[in-house]
Amino acid sequence: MIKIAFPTEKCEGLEDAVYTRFGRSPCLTIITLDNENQIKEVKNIRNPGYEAASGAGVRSVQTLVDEGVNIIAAPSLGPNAAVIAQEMGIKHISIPSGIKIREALETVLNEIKKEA
Amino acid sequence: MKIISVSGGKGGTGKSFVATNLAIVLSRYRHVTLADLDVEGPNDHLLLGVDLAEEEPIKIVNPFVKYDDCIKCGVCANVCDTGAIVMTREKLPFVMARLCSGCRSCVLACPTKAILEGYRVIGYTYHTIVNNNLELVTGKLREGEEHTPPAVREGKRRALRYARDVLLIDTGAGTGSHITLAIKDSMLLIAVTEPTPLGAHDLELILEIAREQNIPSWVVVNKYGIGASEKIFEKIMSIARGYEAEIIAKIPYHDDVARSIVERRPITSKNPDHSVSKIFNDVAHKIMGVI
Amino acid sequence: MIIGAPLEIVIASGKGGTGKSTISSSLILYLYRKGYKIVAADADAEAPNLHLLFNVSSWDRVDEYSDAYIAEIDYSRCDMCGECVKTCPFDAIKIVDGKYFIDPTICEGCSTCSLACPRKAIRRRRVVRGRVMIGRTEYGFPIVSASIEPGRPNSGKLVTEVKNRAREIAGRESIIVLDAAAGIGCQVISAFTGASLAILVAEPTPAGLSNLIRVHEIAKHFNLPSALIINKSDLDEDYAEKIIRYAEEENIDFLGKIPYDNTVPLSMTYMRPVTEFSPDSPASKALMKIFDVVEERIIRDFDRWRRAHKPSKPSIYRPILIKPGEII
Repeated sequence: MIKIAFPTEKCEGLEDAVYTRFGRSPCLTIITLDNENQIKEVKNIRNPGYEAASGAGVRSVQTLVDEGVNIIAAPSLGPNAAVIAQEMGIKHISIPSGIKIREALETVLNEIKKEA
Repeated sequence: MKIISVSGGKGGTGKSFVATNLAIVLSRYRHVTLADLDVEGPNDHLLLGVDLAEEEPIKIVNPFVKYDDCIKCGVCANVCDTGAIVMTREKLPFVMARLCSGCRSCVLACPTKAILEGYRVIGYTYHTIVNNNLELVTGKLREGEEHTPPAVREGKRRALRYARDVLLIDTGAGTGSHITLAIKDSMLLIAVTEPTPLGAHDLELILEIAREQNIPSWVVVNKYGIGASEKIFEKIMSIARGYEAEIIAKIPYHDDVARSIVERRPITSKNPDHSVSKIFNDVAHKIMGVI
Repeated sequence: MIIGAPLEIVIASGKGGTGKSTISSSLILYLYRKGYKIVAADADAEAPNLHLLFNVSSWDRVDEYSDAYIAEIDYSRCDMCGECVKTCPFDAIKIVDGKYFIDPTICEGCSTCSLACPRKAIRRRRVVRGRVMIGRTEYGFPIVSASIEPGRPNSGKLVTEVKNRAREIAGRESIIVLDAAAGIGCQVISAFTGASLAILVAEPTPAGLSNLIRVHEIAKHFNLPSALIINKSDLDEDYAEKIIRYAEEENIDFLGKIPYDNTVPLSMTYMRPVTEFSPDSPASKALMKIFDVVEERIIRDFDRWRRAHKPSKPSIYRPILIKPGEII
């Protein structure tokens, strides 16, 4: 099982678009895949980093740690978030912003297959 | 020992230019310690043409978790104001040093006293002897550190160690709490402004801070002659009146001043008979009259 | 064109008084007149000045910002034990009229004193620290600004709020131009967070160069591609050359020089961007040439420009830590 988190704008799940900035996105969409890489669950949560002043990305990562996320798929991670994600063993895969989550998921799966 | 602050709100009005030249002239009559508390980008040593010396670290508390005693309750992460403590998957606290402001809430909140106090060096203070009667203390934040107030506090503390007759404080730009910290306990604030709407706007902010701290203010209008100086000067006069602040000098915009900055030789040193230097003499005499 | 989210340009400088607001205001007007959807944002909550250059004197919307705390003592429970004074990491507590008083201009609202108080006599309460303002300029584009009560801490949080509001107002194809505060403190760091690119402004002096290096280091931390403008370049043409060389070494896109020009402060007095007030002045002409470069090189094909000016790796921030009990 794999859990992948995407920064999104409107908490609309698969039809939502990838937001440019991870730590500041209004929403975080977490997709759980089963062992055959089929979508098991799509969860939308409010991103605590959206309103935080300092350590926004860090707070977002904290939430993802609590949710058991393995991969963050986002255009980029800020310096603090990048350090924390690495420490927590969460992988970062870079994807372009503006594309639909459904599409972004394909990109992520290809990346994972490449590295396997 | 008397403390006088030089501030301005808006960046680039010439605080450091005024502070360094004033320090030079005052040091002809009294011992002066100049404190450069513009910790994000101290410039006074550059303007004076001296090097920073006698480096001492500025330390703030940094938490270290004793994992043997940690009961994984997560209270430390909850209580942390800046998001510096993150709980791992195993529910263990992980400290992000850069975000920590050194407040120690986590240390106090931990029910098993599992958080110990270490330190983190966030910057350095320096001490340079400029001449027989003038010493410069500088505070500087390390790259990547953003907690200004402790650096300002430490710079001021060190300057107080050397202060004898006069402590002259050059604050940073801005009007935040780091400015309040820098000017606290001063007997006089010299607000440096420029004759532009932006300068006038920020002058009001800095005079407000001084008033809140019960510090009397004087105003120096620098770069006089740029733009439509007379028009804005009227506005500055009415602002100053509102705060019972006297306008004690108008320093004209002068190529020689710009040159002295580039050459790293203060104009009052390089050319004591210059018209601009004479203005500083007058200001120094006025200060001597009240200390 | 730009996809995904608004393009966010930060105008920053390590030093104050280099001309950020002058350049931002003129750039904003230039892009607006070229037909871009623009949101002007003032990212200096301690000394907000940008609105003055657009002659904005009233706001359409003012929201009080109260996501800040200060500590307060309940005197009925206080027994003057002094623990709070000892533990306050910011020296915010002093004696006034025989009672302990927490100075609201210094208190940062951490919970330390309330945790330390043996009588549980200290509570935190929410305070209004400042305001976020939204208005419309007479030219037609919106401006977001903020101001913090003079002397209060945490202006960085207000800058974050300004950015959030600007993003709310801006549509997908908008450009947000942020006029950052001077220096490299928390306001500047908030301004850089999540921006698309930085335009750095430097004066040709020793302090100008050292401050440029410091602010560029911050840009590198956020992996921001950067461009450079040298203002008041005729102060010292040799130093200007030094700075251009630094830009070349660091893969910063050097956009051009602006000479010292007295019409700049004059235009400020009349509350207009200098390119509007005196389009034939030397500064205006230099600015328009630079803005043509910004539009053609940076904005029209941002993805390509971004890749061409990827910054080098920042010096890795390594905290200098002293373990408990370690003697240095």
